[in-house]
Parts: sequence; structure tokens; C-alpha cells
Amino acid sequence: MKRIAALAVVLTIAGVALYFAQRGKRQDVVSPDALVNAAADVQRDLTRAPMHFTRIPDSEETRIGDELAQQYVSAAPLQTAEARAMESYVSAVGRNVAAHAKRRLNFRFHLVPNPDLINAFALPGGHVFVGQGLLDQMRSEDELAFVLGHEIEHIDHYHAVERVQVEAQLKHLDLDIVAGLAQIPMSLWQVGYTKDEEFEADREGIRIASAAGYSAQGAVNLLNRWTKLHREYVIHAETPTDELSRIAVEGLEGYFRTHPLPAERLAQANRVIAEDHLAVNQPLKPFHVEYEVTSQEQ
Amino acid sequence: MELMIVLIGGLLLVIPLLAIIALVRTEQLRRTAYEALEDHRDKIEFLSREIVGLRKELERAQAGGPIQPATAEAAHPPAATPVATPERAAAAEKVTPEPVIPAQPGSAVTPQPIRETPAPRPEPVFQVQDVAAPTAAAIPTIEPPIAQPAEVRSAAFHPTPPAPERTTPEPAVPIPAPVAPPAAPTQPAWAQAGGQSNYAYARSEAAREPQAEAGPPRKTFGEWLRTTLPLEEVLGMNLFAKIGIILLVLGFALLGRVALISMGPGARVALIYVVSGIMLGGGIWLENRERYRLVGRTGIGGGWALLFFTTYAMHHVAAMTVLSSNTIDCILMLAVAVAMVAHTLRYKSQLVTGLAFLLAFFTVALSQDSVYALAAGVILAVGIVAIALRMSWFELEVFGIVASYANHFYWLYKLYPDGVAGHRFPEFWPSAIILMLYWLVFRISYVVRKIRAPRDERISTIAALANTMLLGAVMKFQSTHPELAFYALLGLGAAEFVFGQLPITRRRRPAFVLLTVIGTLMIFAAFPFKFSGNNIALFWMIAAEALLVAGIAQAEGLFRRLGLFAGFVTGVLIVYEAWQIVEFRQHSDAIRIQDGVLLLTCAALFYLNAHLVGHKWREVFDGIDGTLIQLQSYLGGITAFLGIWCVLTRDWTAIGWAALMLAAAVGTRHLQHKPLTVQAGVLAAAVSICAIIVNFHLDAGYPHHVMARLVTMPILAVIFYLTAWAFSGKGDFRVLPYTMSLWLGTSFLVVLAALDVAPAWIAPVWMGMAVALSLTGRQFNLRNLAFQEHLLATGVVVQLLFANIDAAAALERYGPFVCCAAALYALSRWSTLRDASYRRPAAWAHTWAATTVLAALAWHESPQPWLAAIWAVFALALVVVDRIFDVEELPYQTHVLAFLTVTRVIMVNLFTQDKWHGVDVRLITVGIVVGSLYAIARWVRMPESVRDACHLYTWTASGLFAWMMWSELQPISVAVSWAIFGLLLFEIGAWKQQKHLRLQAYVALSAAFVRIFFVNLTAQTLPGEAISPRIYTVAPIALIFFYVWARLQSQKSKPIGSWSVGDLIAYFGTGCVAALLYYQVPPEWIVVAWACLAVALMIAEFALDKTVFLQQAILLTAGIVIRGLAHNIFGGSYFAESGWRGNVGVLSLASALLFGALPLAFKLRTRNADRAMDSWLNRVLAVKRPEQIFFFAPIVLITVMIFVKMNPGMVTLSWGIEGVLVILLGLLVNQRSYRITGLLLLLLCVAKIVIRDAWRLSDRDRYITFIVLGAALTLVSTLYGRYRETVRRLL
Repeated sequence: MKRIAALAVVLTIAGVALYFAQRGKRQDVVSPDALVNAAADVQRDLTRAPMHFTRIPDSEETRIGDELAQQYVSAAPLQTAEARAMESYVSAVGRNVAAHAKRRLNFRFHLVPNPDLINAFALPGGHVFVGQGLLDQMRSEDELAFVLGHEIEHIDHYHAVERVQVEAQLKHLDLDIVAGLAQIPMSLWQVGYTKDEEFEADREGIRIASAAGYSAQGAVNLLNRWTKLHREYVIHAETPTDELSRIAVEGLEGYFRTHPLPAERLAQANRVIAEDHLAVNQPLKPFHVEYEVTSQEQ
Repeated sequence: MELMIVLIGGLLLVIPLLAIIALVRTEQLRRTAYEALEDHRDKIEFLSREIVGLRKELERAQAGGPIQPATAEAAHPPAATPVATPERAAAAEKVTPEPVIPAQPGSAVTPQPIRETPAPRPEPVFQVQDVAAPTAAAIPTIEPPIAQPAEVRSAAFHPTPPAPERTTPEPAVPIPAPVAPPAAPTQPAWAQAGGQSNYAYARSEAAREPQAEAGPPRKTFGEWLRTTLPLEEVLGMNLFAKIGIILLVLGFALLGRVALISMGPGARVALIYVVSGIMLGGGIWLENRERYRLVGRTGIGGGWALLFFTTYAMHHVAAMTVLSSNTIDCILMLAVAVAMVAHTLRYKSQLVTGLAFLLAFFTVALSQDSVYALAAGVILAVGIVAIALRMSWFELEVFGIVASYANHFYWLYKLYPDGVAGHRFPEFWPSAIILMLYWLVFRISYVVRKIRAPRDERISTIAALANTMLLGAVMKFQSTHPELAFYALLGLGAAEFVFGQLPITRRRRPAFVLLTVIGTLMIFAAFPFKFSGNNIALFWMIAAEALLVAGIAQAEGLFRRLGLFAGFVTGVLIVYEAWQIVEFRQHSDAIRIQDGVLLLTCAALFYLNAHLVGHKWREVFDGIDGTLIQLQSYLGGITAFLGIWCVLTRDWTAIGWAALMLAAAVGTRHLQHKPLTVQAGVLAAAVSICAIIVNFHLDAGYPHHVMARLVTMPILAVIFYLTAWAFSGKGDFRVLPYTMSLWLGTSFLVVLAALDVAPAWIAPVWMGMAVALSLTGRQFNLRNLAFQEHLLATGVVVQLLFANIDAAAALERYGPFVCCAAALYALSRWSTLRDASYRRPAAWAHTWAATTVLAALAWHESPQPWLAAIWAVFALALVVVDRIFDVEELPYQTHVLAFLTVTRVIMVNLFTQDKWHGVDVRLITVGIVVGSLYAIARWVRMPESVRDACHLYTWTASGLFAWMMWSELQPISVAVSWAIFGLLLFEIGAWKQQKHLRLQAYVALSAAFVRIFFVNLTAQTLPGEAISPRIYTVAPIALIFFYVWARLQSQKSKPIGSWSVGDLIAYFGTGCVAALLYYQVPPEWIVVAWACLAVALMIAEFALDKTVFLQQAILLTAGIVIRGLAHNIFGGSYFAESGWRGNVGVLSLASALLFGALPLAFKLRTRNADRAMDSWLNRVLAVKRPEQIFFFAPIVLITVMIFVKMNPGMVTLSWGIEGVLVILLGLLVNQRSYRITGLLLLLLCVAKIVIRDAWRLSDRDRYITFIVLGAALTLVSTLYGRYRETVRRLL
């Protein structure tokens, strides 16, 4: 009798859980993200200690970053005055945010004039690249500040330079020569970092953007928008077979694309704002103001 | 202060040094102690054995029997094992032992004669043929033991049981000569072993015995190389001396010939004479000393060679010409050659003489100015022949032949490097005469020699062959008159043939055979140089027949064989010429009467030889002659085949060949000649190919009848059936053609039916033929017809499946299918002969075929989603029929159908979206399938040995059900539903006592556990949800896991397999919770969450007393340490975090929680102290000492955290404080390991201080290089000779 009662309780709890899980119109994605993120975080954690003890000096990191940036800038030069004005605008916002970074580096900001590039990435030594496609999504300068703060923190927390170190070890590259650095493609920086590193960059990015006088609401708005986009555009598997094939494919590809879900990033942003009492009520600065002023002056 | 640091540093340096010294010393002492221990063990073992032996002896003595040796060693009494004095030991080494002849009980044994001690082996001489001798002699070998005459005699005289028979050979026991008198048998063996102690002797014997039992010790690669290829001996002590001398001689020769600027010819001659004299004299002097004999002899050879060259060069070499008369120079050369031969013969060394001649030939070759210089070669050849005949050094003559012709060839080559052919040269006739002289000299030598041993004959044969072949080769090279080749070959062949017929030659059978064969071959080879085409065949045929007739008439096998060979070659030539008919028939059907008659005549001649002559005188045609006469039969067959092809065309060619095949078969029946059988087989193949290509007229099928096909195919079938009759009867070699003929006859009829019957009804017609074949075969007991029925039935099935199934009319589909299936079912039990061993498989095959065609018909006719259901029901019907009628193969057909059904469901039904009257077809069909599967599982008849295999059906049904859940529910719900399904299966399995249901439950639970990592743990919280979906989906799953675990603890059933399922389920539960914490808690707080979970697990362990929770707690603690080190210490922010939530605070909290579990850990240690926890996991995790884990984990975290997070200047201080605290803790809880840890921490502090003044050491690189040049080979060889004993010792 006792056993039946226990069984009934367990079945009831499980049934209720099943009911709640089945109740809403959920759009959960079946993917190996959990395992892939865990594996990536483990890998990242395992490299932390070696990275800690083999940290290259800031001057060396700056030299590597400068040479990489030179390659990438020369590969996609700015052709129009509008693009150059946009780059100077981004640089101005970025310098304002970077002033609150922990490391004293010469941060520089570059525009990649590619409307399809909805991404930003950071190089060692202080170079931040922002795609035109990403800027097109910006609604306020505060959002841009959050994005730049995020990338600055990738540099500030040595994520970028550690990636160079790992890549050099894996490919046996000689970082002392330009030819070795030339083998590091731009795509390496666009794939993002581990979940842990991304969270860290988000966290610190919000903080230094707020310290620079930007509203944390910008970050919330941007992440909110990405969350909705993610829900709308993510492909949901219809059958178990689809699920298995997606898991197989994403298991192979997803290891290198380990950005956390936008919803998780949003949740963390809200938590940081709440814990640090960051300002969210101040009015958002309009995007492009400086660019518009500059172009009117011209 | 500085002084203190220096002292501490010095102390730190000295301590490791002292530790290393102490370690080495300890190791030495340990090894010594171990050896002493082993020694004592051996002594004890030996004494024990000796005591046992003595007891046995005592018992025998008490029983009145003769006393036997006490030990195994004593079983071989030391009669032949004398006291080892150096002289005897040396003599004993040279004795070759004899094998043991064990004395058989009750039989008189004759003592084995003892082989006399061989004479002392002479000191090895370093000649080529002697090189291996000392090496082989030097290698000790383990020979079988020697029968002891005294013991054997004793065994023969005393009818007592013999010594225990040894299954393994004993080590060799040397026997001195003369045989020593038998010693007292009771004397221990060790007492005679040269004063060895009892124990030492036993040890030495014991050491030898296993070697003897295990065979010779395995050699290392280096040892094998040293013994197999003793390079140092071969090169340094042998070859280098020879090569060195050769190089010196050639060097001086070139020196003399090319240039000595300030020296006239006379001086050069004088100088080289002096050098050759020195070499000759030195060689003679050294040859007298045994140690340098090899060098001396090579020196003699070199000296003579140089002397001969100088004599030769006095006239023939321009730079050294001092004589104008060729005659005088020739006389001098002859004198030198005679002297050389006379001198070298003194040594009776073929090597030395050969070396001298070799060098002489070299010198001549180097200095040829005109063809007359080759006269020196003739002289050398005569000299060699003279020596060879006198000394029977026939190897030397072979060398002479090669050298003579090579010398001549070299001279010709220098004239025209591309060959002389086509270029006349004035010395042609002198050159040809010299070559003929070479040949004549060596041929006469071959004919007149006396053969003393078979080896001499073999060498002589090589010489004879080389003489002729090299003559031909050089003659061909210098050929400028091709028209003379015919006469040259004919003449030379005739000469060889005549040489072969000489009485002196005929007394030596090998010489007679060789020269006759060579002569005949050359005569035959001559004809193509003057005639061509059939004329050659004509001459050859005449010659061949003449030889054959002569061979039969004179009863001379050689002539017969040559005749047969010639006939064979002639036949090949005829066939080669006639083969053009094959190409001709590709484009023409014209009849060629003349060629046909000619070929058929030749065929008759060959058949006459093969089957009349060969049959009449068959006693003389054996061995290779029999083979050759058989080959003539084949040649007859080929020519007859081609002849028929010439006279019969189109459809009638096959008829003609078939008739020839029938004739061959009849011939086989009467003459029992195997070649005819083979020919019949080949002709059958040819007829088949011709029938396929021509007679079938495959381009004209139904309904266009072809008269020729309808006429010739039945005729061919009849001929094949007649051929089969001719081959019928006993005789293994006729089985194959008999079978082939029978099959081909039927095949032709089957194909004829296929070509001339309407396509839709071919299968029924074939089925009818199959029935007829089966019944006929069964009636007349013709096994082949039964086989043909099987094949035809297979063809019927194939025809149905690949042709009828796509027929347009329903009647043409259903009619043939149903008819044939019925016939197959009906024929299944009558398809073979009554006594056929494969009756059962044949019956099975027929019902399988029937079921297959019906299943295929269902597949073709039914709508797609419903097929699986129809198959499932069909399978169920087969099960029911089997249960009623007991048809043994039907269950297997059920399995296959069920497998196909499930495959079909997986491939099609699970994905179908069709509706049937508003109901989902997927649910209906899969439901039918699942129900059928459960019913089949319930009723299917299975062999008792695999009774449980029926659960494959329940597994499949459960899998399909789970798949349906996966398809129908939301992704986040699937894991929960699987867990519930698993729980229900588990409870039903427990209730019904069904192990497989429980196993399915475990699989479902495992799948649920895996599933959460793909959906649930990354599920997002929807707006309005108070609780994260991670929590409310994963937590119930964990609850189910723990419930199942608890149920498993209460059950008394045995665990499945060698591992505990309960533990695995518990791991799943805890894994769910740990994973939930990992994904739900902020990253830096994960260690704290896990620490809480670890504490909770410790509490659970303490409360429930289940080791699994302690294991999990320990594993989780390890995870905390790893994550804490990697993430919280080296990760996180690189900048100091303020507030208690920083990594320092988090890690401190986690460490505090772990420390908090220490009291529980101590209690658990006390509780587990007396329990046996032998599983590998428990050993690895050290579950018996949890207090160590829960102490060291936080200690490591704190220590590293201090090192990384603290200001470097404060690290040492912090570690110091930590160490003090740890020591205090160790004192408090009385843990030595804690105290030692504290001490080590303090020591680490000291080390850190020292490391600041790091010692820098630099690496050093070195390398060594050595090159030895080859001009000093002679010196090296001399040195090797001087120190050869020393060198050998080192080898």
C-alpha cells in the first residue's frame, strides 16, 4: 500500500510536470547546445591555467593585434565618406566606453562596410571591428555602447589574446612573424567565444557602458530584440528524425558557435542591472546623431 | 638574514642529494636481499626434492628392489660423466653425441655403439669454402642425450623397471673416448661434477634443464646477425685480403700501361717485375706461416698475375714494349703460364690457381691491341683445361670458359659497341677460328674427362652448356654473314650430335644425352634461318617422325622423346598457322574445303600418334613421354576443331562441334583416355558459346519463330543428352562432363522456352518443366534433374518477381503468382530424391519462395501505409497456421516478415500524414503493427534455447511506442513522458516478473536522462512562468530515478548483469540534479551549489547507508576541485572582485561547505572501516577514507587560490598560516596525513623563497664522428690475421 501510494505521488508529480510542459505553445529547440556549451566551457577552463602562466606581455599583444588589424582593414577598406563618418562615430562612442576598461590599452574601432555582417568582434591589443549590418539594427547609442563594451571586455579579459595563443598552438604558428599571423582568418573572431566568456563580456560590458554614462536599458532592449528574433527564426524540428539530424549537424558545427541563448543573456543583463543598481531610467541617446551632425557640416 | 637564507638554500640542495644516495643504496640492499632470498628458496627446493628422492630410495630398499637414482639428475648415472679435467673437457667438446634410445620394459636392448672421437679438427684455413666451418663449429649446439651403455646394459640384465621416461631431451652429455667404465650408480651426480658442491651442481643442472626443455634459447637479432652473417670474419679475415690484392695488381697494371713519365719501357717492366717478385716472394713466405696463409696465397696469386701481365705487356702494350717478336713473347707467356700452373699446383688449391688465371685473363682483357692478342686467351684456356683434366678441377674449367668468351666478347665490344652485325671487319675469320678453337678445346675436355663423382658430372654439364651457349652468343654478336647461320648451326649441331654418338661419350650417359640434345636442337634451330611457313613444319615433322620411329625401333628413349618434342613443336606451329581461321570467320561464312581437309588430316595424324601409337606401345610412353603423347591428342583436337570450322558454317558449326564432342565422349567411353574427356568438355563449352552467339538467334524472340533455332537447338539438346549417356557410368574424371552435358541439354530447352513462349506465361511453363524434371529425376533417381528443378524453380521466382509483377493485366499478375506459389507449396516435400540429404532445406526453400512471392504480391498490390499492417497480419497468420499444422519453417518466415514490417513502419508509417475516415492512418497502422507484435510475442513458437528471443517483439513494440511519444509530444515533454513510460514498464515488469520489461524500463529511463541534455536543460522560461521549465521538468525526472532506485533497493531480485542497475539509476538521479544546478545557477556559484549537493549526498549516505551516495559525493567533490581551480581561480574576472561574492568568497564558501562535511566523513570512515569494498570504483574513489577527500579538496582549492589570487608577497605568509592551521587540525583530529600536509605547506614556503634565486642551468650538445678509407684493406686484413683469435673472442 505504501508503495502504491508512493508510486501514485511520483506519477502525479510527473503527470503535473508533463501537463505544464505540454500546456503552452512552447518553441524549445532540440540541440546539443547544453553538451557543446559544457564541453566548450570545460575546454576553456582547462586552458585557463596554462594561459595564466604563459600570458604574453601587453606590448606583444598590441603588436599582434596591430598586424592582424592591418590585414583585415586593408582587406575591406572604407570607400565612402559616409562610411568613414560612421567609423569615426563608432570610435567616439567606443573610446568613451573604453575609458572605463581595466587594462590601459590603445583601443581602436573599425567599421566593416558589409551590410550582411551582423556581428562585431575584437582583436588582441585593443582593435574592435563592427559590421555595418549590426549597426543597421541599432536603435540607440546606448545599444551601440553595450555592443562595444561587450567587445572591449573580450579584450580586457584576455579572451582575444588567449584565442590567438590557442590558435598558434593548434596550428603551430609563429606569432613573431607576419606570415604566421596571416594564417589567422577573420572568421576566427566572428564565431564568438565560449558561453562563459560571452556571459563575462556581457556582464562587464554593461557595467563599463553604464560607467560611461549610457543607460543599461540599451542592452536590455537589444537583447530583448534578439530574443524575439531568435524565437521567430530558429528552425524547429518537426519529427524525431529531424531532431537527430539537427543534433548531429549542430554537434559538429555548434562547438565553434557557442554564444549563449539571447534569453539567457537577457536574464543575466537584468540580474546585473538589479544587483548593481544600474541606471535604466535615463533617456536613451539617439543613434547616429554625431554622424548626422557631421554629414550636415560637410 | 642572508646567512640564514644561504644555509637554508644549501640545506635544500644537500637534502635531495643525500636522498638520492640513500635511495640508490637502499635499492642495492634490496636487490642483494632479494638475491639471497632466491638463493635460499632454491636451496630449500633442492633439499626438499632430495629428501623426497631419498625417501623413495629408502622405501624401495625396504621393499627389496634395486635402488634407483634419487633425483632426476641421478637418473643418468655419472658413468659417462668423468671428472672434468681440462684435457677431457676439451676432448669432450669434440664428441658428437648420439640420441637416446630409451630402454623398453621387458625388451632386450642392444647397447648403442659409441662413435669414436674424431680426429682433432685442423686449424681453420681461410678459404671461401672453409669460411663457415669454424663459425659453425664454434657454435655450441644442444644435442640429444647419449644412451649410456653401462646403464642400458644394466637395464637389460636386470629386469627392473627402467628409469622414468623423459618426455623432453636431456642436455648433451659429452662422452670421452675411450668409454669410461661405469661408476657406482648410487653415487650422486654432483659428486662427479669436477668437485662442484651438491647445491652448485643442482643449480647448474637446473639452469640447463629448462633450456633443454624449452629448446635452444631464442637469439637476439644482434646474435642472429653475428652468427648468420659474421661480417667481420667474412670481410676482415677473408674478402679484404683478396680484394686488396686484386686492387693492387690492377693498379700496377694500369700504372704500367698508362703513364710513368720519367721511366722508359724497360724500367717499367723491371719495376713491375720487381713488384710482382716481391708479391710472389712475400706470398710464398707468408704462406708458410699458418696465421698469414690466406694473405700469402692471395699474394702468390697476385704475384703470378702481375708477372704474366708484364710478360704479356713486353710485346703487346705500347708503353711497355721491349720485345718486338711476338713469337718470343708468346713463348715467354707460355713459360710464365706453365710456371704459374706448376707453382700453384704445388698448393693444390683451386682457389689460388683460379685467382692466378683470373688475373691473367684480366690483364689480357685490359691490354688487347689486336685479335692476335687473344691468342694468349687460347693459351690460358689450354692451360686451364690441362689443369682441370689433371686435377679434376672442373669448376676451374667453368671459370675458364666464361673468362675466355668474355675476353673475346670484350674485344669485339671495343670494336663495335653496338654490336658487329652488319659491319664487316677484317679480323672476322681469325676471330671465328679463335672462337671455334675455344669451343673445340673445351668440348674435347668435356668428352675425354673422367668423372669420379656425381658432382663432377653436374659441373661438367654446366661447362658443356656454357661452352655452346657462350659460343653462340659471341658468334651472334660478331655476325656479319647471316646467310651462314644456317650452315653454322647445322654444322655445329651435327658436330655436337657426332660428339654425342662417340663411343667414349656413350659410355657417359649424361654426356651422350646432353650432346645429342644440343646437336638436335641446333639442327632444328637451323631450318628457320633458311626456310619459312609450312616448309619448316614439313622438315620438322619429317625429322620428328624420324626420331620417333628411330626411338621406337632402337628402343632409345632419348630419340623418342626428342621426336615427341619435335612433333609437339610442329603441332604448335601448325595450329599457329591455322589460327587465322578464327579471324576469317569473324567476317566471312565461306567454306574452306582445302584448309579443312588439311587440318582434319593433321588431326587424324595427331590422333593416330596419340591414341594408336601411344596405345599400342604405351609401356614406353611413361612420364614426360606420356605427357607429350597426350599433348599430341590435344593438338589433334585443336586441328579438328579448326577443320570443322572451315567446312561447316552458321548454325551447323555447333552441330559439327557437338558431333566431335560426342565422338570424343564415345572415345572416352571405349579407350578411357583422359585427354578425350578434356577435349569433350572444352568442345561442350565451345558449342555452348556458339549456340548462344549463333543458334539462339537472340535478336528474334516471341512470337517470331526461327526455324533454324527450332531445328538445331533440340538437336543440340539431344546430342548433349547422348554425350551425357556416353559419359555416364563409373569413373570420377567423367563426372564433370557428364553433369555439364546434362545441364547444357536442359539449359538449351529452357532457353528455347523462354524465347518462344509468351512472356507472362514463361514462369508457369518453367514451373511445369520443373515439376516434370522433379518427377522424372525422382522416378529414375537422377540427382542432376532434381538440381535442375531447384534452379528452374529459382528462375520461376525471379521471373515472377521481376517480370510478372509488372504485368498490365491482373490475370497475368495474380494467375502466375498464385499458380506458381501453389506449385511451390505442393512441390516443397517432393522436390528431391528420396534419399537426398538436403530434403529439409529444399522443402524449406520452396515454402520460403512461395511466401516470398505472396509477400511481394502484397507489397505490389496494397496501398503504401497499409502494407506494414498487411504484412504484420500475414506474419500473425503464419504463426497461427504453425500452431495448428506444425510447419517448422513458418515461425522463421514470421520473423522475417515481422522484421520487414518493422522496417516498413520505421521507414514509412511513422512519417505518414494520411487520414482514413478522419483518423490518422499512422495511429491505425502502427497500432495494428504494435498489437500484432505483442500477439506474435505471445504465441510465436521459439526453440527452447532461444525462448527469450521472443522479447525482441516486445522491445520493438515498446520502441515504436516511445517513438510515437517522441513524435507527438512537445520536445520538452518527451523526457518526462519517457521517464513515466519507463516507470510504468518497470512496475509492470516487476509485477509480471518479466525481466525484459524491466530492461526496457531502464532503457527508457536512460533515454530520458540523455534527453534532458538536448532540450530540457536549455529550455527557456516563457513569459509568465514562475518556475523555470528546467526545474519543473528535470526535477520530476530525478524524482522518478530516485523512486526506481528505492524500489530496486527493496526488491530481492538479483541484479541484472555484473553491475548494479540501482547504482546507475541513482547516478542518473544525482546527475540530473547536478546538471540542473550547472545550468540553472550562475557560473561562479556552481561550485557552491555542488558543494551543497555534496554535503546533501553525504547526509543521504549517512542516513541511508548506501555507498553509492558516498561515491557520488566524492566524484562531485573532485568536480568541485577541478571547476574551482579552472574556473573560479584561473577564470572569472582577472581583476579583484570586491565584496563577498567574488571568487575568493565563493571558493571560501565552497571550501567551508566541504570542510563542514568532514565530521560526517569521519563517521562514515568509522562505519565503513570493517566493510569489504572491493569494487574497482570504491578502490579508485577511496570510499573507505572519505575524510581524506573532504580534507584535501578544500585544502587544494585554498592553497592554489592563495597562490593565484593573493599578492605575491603575501602568498608565502598565507601559506604559512594555512600550514599552521592544518597542522593544528591534524593534531586535533589525530590525522597524520593532515599534519604532513601542513608540514609540506611550510616546506613549500621555504622552497618558494629559494625559487626566487633560481639556478640557471644550460644544456650542452656533443657529437662524435669517424671515417675509415679503403686503400688499407690489405693492411687491415693482415692485422685481422695477426689478431684473429682476439677478434673472435670479441665477436
